[in-house]
Amino acid sequence: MAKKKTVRLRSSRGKIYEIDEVVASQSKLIANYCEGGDILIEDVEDEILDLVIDYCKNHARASSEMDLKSSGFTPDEKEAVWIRNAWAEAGDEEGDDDNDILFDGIRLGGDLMPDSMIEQILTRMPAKSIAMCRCVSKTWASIISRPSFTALFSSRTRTHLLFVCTLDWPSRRYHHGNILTSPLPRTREIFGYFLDVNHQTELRHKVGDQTFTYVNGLVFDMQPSFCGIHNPSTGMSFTVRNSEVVRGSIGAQSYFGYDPISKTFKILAMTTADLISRNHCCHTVRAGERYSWRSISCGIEHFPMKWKPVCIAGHIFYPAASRSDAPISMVIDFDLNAEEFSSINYFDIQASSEAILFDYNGSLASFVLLEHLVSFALWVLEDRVKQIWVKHIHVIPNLPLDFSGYGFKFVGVIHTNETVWLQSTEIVGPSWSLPTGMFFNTDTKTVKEISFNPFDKSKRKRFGVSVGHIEYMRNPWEEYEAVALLKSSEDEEEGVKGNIRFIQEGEECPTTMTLTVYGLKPGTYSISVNDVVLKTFDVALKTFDVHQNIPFTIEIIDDNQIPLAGEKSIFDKSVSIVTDGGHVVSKEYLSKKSEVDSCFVPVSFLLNQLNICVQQKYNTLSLVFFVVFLTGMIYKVNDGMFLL
Amino acid sequence: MSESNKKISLISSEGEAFEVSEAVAREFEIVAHMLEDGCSGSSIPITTVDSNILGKVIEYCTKHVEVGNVEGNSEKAEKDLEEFDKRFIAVEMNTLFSLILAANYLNVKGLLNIGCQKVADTIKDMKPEEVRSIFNIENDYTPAEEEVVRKENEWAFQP
Repeated sequence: MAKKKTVRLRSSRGKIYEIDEVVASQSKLIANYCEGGDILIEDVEDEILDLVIDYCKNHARASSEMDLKSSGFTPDEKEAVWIRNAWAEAGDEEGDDDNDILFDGIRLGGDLMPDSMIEQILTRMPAKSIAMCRCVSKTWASIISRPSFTALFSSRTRTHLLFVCTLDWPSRRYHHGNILTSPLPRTREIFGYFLDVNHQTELRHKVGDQTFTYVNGLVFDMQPSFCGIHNPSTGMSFTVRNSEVVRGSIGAQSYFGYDPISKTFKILAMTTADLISRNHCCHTVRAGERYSWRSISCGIEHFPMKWKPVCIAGHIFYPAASRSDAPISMVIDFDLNAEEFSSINYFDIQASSEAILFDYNGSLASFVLLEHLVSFALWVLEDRVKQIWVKHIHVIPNLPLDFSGYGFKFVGVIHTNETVWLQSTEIVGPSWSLPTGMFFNTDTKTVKEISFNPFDKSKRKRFGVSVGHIEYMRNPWEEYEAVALLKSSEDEEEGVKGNIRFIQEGEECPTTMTLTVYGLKPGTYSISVNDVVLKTFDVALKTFDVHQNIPFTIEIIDDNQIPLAGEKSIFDKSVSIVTDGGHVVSKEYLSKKSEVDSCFVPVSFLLNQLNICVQQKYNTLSLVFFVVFLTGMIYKVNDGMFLL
Repeated sequence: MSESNKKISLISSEGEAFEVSEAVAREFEIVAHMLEDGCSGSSIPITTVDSNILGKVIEYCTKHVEVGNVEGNSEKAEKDLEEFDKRFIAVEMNTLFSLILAANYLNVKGLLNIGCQKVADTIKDMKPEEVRSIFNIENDYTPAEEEVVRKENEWAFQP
């Protein structure tokens, strides 16, 4: 290798490093490249490249030794390095040993950051296994909670058939059931005869096997007094009380939908005791809101029919009649974002009892059976504005004899042209399996029979099915909340107390900050997160006194500066209140809500007292200790040691 | 694949040379980049991959290049390739990890894909303890923390 030239390295962000070639040849990867020109180190960020170059400079002298070492890796050593990297937050520390690991990690794989390999592997597993892997280590749990993970997982996940199975008690409408899913192959060609069944959880709430609806990864079911929402991919359930809407009325109808614009799930409910629907209300599914329905106006007199609705691209569609005693004449289109109703003329059909609404490649469509196992029609709404339905008639070719005894029922369309049919009869037997299915391809006019692998859930006798289930790793009713307890750096008499809460409903949603504080003197203050000023505010003339028990509160809605979810989460970051003179009134660290919730007032008193001792020394090191100590205190308090 | 008869030597970490056709070498995206950047030398050191693994990766690429070169490849060829892939990754975990790392480093997407899928399939029904031992991961949860996280994901432990 040449020993006098310089090499220019360009980092992923375009920063140029000019270094000695001797130094650069410390990296085998770089040494392998030809001389001259910039070398683009694409996947290495500035900080890491800095560290690496620093390392190379220090080690260039001992290069002969290094060469020996670097070329002699056995697979085991490589793996050891990789594993060490997997749970050491790579690039954070700059100890000598860590540098070794870090450098080795980069040299081993150019763009290999081991977490990314873990991500690669975990995103290829079903949701249930991913949940299990959360328990492996904190690092794995943090990888799984990253936005990049969710994105990668969603891009990989396959369409499933989803079954809601219940006990066979015909006298009862709702039963404890469980949800099973069956992943479908990406293309028809790789369908085997048997399809796998993933066992999912028992439902915590009762569910009607025929009344549930499926929307974007969630199963929704309306009960007499509440709506149940279940996420089969995380095993979590959520209920929303609807008594406010129903108000003792005998008839009620609820629909569930996902609005991709606001990224929220909403419930639409109405009473149906009269000849037409009334009391239309809407509810957004989010944490802490189980009772807040808002009334919305509906200018269309209609009576909703008890057919399954369908949610497509932010619109709920359900069939309706002009009055409860009239035939179906329209499809109601409820825009979830604008919360407005409109109606679509339903086409003239005779066999209305067999008409099913479904999502046909993003368009509203209706299935009409013409003759059992012989022919059927698909009506597709091709123009929503002009209300043009286009009719496609399909004739099923001659089926093998053993199909004839089955009562096949249409359940939906997958892969753009594959109609899915399942036996509608209930199965009785010691080893229960899901019913036989049939896939009829409307393009190639071919039929393929499918069976599901049997499993032993002998009590489950009834099922409802939905096509197009996608595993969804988030629960919309869970949000992120970070809390910091405020304490004063002044003496106790004039000390401030209170809390700052940050609430974010989900990734990429706006964050709401609420400051509640007692005892601030009049003046101008600013709130900073991690020393970045978020908001300046004035406290009016009146002194807010802790004894008066009147807090000063402000609320800020921030669009995307302060994420609680994902990698840039502000958890464990500091939040401080500073006067315009630069005096820090309070500085605290943000914790998850669950870690501090129960101990607001008592702790701030305690902390105030502790704080005074530390303030007198003004020693940065002890401050650091203090912070560590305080954090420990908060945890302890939460454990119940200081429950005053 | 114009100059498919041109040979290139890939040197493993032990210094062993593997002579492959340029088409095969180009399956390694990193090598392809080097060639495009004007590294015209006929031998390229792959210093982070040992002979055993490099040999395997080359075997994988050679097979895939061969099949890819057949005009109008039939369904049978595709199936054969699938079979080959299946057999190819039926190796013990340590070797599989090395293969994935090498595939990632050399940027052989197909191999990376089947390798990661294989690991995922292997661990998907395992308990956290088993996963930890396979990946040699230290459990950094305290017993109390682990109880909480297990409770949160309780459903995943049900059969």
